[in-house]
Amino acid sequence: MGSVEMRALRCVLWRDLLLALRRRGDVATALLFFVIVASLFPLGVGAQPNLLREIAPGVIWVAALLSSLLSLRRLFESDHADGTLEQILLGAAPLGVVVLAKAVAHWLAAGLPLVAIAPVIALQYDLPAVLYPVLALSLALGTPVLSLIGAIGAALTLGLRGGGVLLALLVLPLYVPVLILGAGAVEMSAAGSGGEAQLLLLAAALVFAAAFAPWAIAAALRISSE
Amino acid sequence: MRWFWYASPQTFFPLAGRIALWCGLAAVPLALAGLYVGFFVAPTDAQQGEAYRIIFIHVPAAWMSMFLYVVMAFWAAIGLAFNTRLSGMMAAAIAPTGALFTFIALWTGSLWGKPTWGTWWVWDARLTSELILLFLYAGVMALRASIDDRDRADRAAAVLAIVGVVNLPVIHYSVYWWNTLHQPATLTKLGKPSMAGDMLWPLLVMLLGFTLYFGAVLLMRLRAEILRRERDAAWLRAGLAR
Amino acid sequence: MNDFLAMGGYGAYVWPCFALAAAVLAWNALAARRLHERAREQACRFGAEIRTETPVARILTRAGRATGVVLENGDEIAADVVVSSVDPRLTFERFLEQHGLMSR
Repeated sequence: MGSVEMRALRCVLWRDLLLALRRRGDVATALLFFVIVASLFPLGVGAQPNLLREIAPGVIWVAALLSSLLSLRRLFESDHADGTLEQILLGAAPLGVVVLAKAVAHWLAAGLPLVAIAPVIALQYDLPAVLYPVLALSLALGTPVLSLIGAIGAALTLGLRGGGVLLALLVLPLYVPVLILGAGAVEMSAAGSGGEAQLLLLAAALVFAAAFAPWAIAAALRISSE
Repeated sequence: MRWFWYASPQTFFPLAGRIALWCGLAAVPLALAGLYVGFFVAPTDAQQGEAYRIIFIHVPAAWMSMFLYVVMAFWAAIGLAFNTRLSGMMAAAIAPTGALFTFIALWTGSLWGKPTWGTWWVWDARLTSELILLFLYAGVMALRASIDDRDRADRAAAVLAIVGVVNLPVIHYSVYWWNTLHQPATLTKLGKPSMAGDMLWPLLVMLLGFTLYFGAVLLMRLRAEILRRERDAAWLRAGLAR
Repeated sequence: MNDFLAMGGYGAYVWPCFALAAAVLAWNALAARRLHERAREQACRFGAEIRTETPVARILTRAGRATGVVLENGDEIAADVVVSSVDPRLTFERFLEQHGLMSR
């Protein structure tokens, strides 16, 4: 990447992180949502340790999915509202790089905290401690993919009436492979056969998404901003 | 280049009407022939008895549902690349029929599952994959419906359709893998019966019949869409005044 | 015949399948046709002719309902609905003066 792209990447990344830092409340609410959703399942299915241990990977992953979905709205909304998005579209920085930077910033503010908190939730579900690294790694690899794919949905539904629900409808089917791979990695690990295959596939998905999602996000932003 | 001659709604409109008529007329005898062979000529399956005959609806519908999503994504890509309005209208007209075929595949799959597997719904790889396909169709239709500006709606739905079609094999295989992780192997033996020749023929005939049916319905919807959007165009007013 | 309907005991599953598929496909085709018909009707109907520099002299009424307008050049245009964007006083005093609505 040339120096213009690197500068643009650094600039947008720094700006978005700064904004997220100033709106710590938003970040905290998404995190809290993650914790609350994960706490609802035992209330719904009963607190038998064996059952909870079995459903833990799936539940944690679904909660991470939903929490990531909630925080996607603010990816482009505030910029769209105050006109910054138009400036970006008209500006010299390549749009693909800008949206990649925004997605990375989103992940750092919304996805990485989930990775950090996940072992605490796993503790609630009595997941054996030996599985924590796999869980954290699967989330660390998967949540960026969620941010990238979700950003496509956020760009497509920018400013629409349907709002968050429409975004969820569009994006959740696309999240399914990440969910299956992520939860599957932990489950395979728990069963003793090691989750390396799933983790490698997740890494491949991340590379693929990082390479191709920016095109889709940029195209969607241009379509939504006319 | 001759390719673009029919890319204008004006020239395609009468052609669509003629093709729709022929497709519709051809679909009916084909479907009847397929059903006849399926019911009276194809032998009874050793494992599943007469219940297996549901595949003559289930498999063509499932195949159509997946094929139509790819076709929709194809026209969406053409519309984005060449900026032709008609391609966007085409993609819009495909979605409802595709979604309905997915629905039929799910329903018939469930009704097939009850006598063969004992439950109404089973998280079988094929059915689960079809369910997610239904969600993908619903997403494209919902997105198009919630944008008022026709051009923006077409292009947004096109991007979504393309992203969806790229994800489709990924979703398909990940669901299949997930199924092997969670289902005991014995359940997969009660899947599709081995295809005797007599069973394959009616399947293909039904598939062809469904394709022609889809062609007729697609072109009718396309004509309706053209009428709606080109309402003020001079060629349409002149044509309707006659 | 009974054997055929029973479908080896699975009749209750096989027939609803085919019936459902036929119903859904037929409904789809009919819906497409209805869409087409309605679009055709609307395309015929929603044409508008805009005339400028054509002052209206009076609004025609019959039995308490508006039935059209008379232009200053004498032309009459029949209509089911007359919409006046002129202020109410002018509408009632000038265009509907024959009713003497303002004198009450």
